[in-house]
Amino acid sequence: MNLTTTILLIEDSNTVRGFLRRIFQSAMPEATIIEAVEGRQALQAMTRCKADLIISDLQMPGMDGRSFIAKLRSNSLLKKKNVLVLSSDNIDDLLELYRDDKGIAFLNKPSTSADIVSAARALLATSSTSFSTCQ
Amino acid sequence: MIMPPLVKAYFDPQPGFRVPSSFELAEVLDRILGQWAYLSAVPSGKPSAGPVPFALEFSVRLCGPVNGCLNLRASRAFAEDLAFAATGDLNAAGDAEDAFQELCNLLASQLIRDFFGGTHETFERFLPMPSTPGIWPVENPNSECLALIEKHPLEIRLWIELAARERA
Repeated sequence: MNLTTTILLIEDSNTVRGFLRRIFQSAMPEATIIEAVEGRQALQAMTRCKADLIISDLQMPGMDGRSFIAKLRSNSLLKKKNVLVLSSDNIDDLLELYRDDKGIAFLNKPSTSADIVSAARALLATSSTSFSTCQ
Repeated sequence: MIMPPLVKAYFDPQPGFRVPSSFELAEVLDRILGQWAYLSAVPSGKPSAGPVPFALEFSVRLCGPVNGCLNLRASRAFAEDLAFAATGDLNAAGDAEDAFQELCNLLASQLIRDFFGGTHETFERFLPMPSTPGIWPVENPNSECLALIEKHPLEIRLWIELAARERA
């Protein structure tokens, strides 16, 4: 069992996942980073690992980011998970849909590593606990 | 409670539609490369008149308030360097095409935000696709530039039809 902050990266591009992995390994070396290439794989990963923060793209093959977030928010066990959406998509619909949800933040792609880490830290600070378990 | 930050770009007033200049194309590219891969792009004029063979070429079709096509061409060596620069992974060369495709995606998205109405207008979702000069529009590009990234040349061509908005 591993007691650290766990970050789940959901992104279909190997390069963007690598970029995110790199900045979080540098900024939060204590964090455990797990990865998925689309929403369904991410949900499966969450049965093994209780992610403290999810960083998700929107456009992905398989289950896309919008469907993943909707699934998350409709699940009583997962609905309070923090999500940082990192996308080049138009997100006006999501801003409206989740305007009162303090557990979701949005960043444009590309964003600087400083902005991404700052947004991630702000979301983690809203959590009641920063420890999770990975098996 | 700390409020998560929101991105200013989604709320700032956007400029009207216009075609970016050659210099502006290079400037947007430079900004993206700086944020994402810690690289910089130097504008170096326009691409050569005839299509020079490049190993990698992707095009993005823009459909929405403006219609158009964005085309990027570069060498595989550039894309391999890009993949390494973005990830810091010495074994990232295998993701060269993925890195180049993502660069096209980011550039198209940023151009929409900066020049074509931002997110206040609806564009169809797009996916950069491999292309060849044979499928380029027959007209000359509305804007084009040659940028040097480290030692690598990268060509950008942009065809834009602003008519949909202007005719209305």
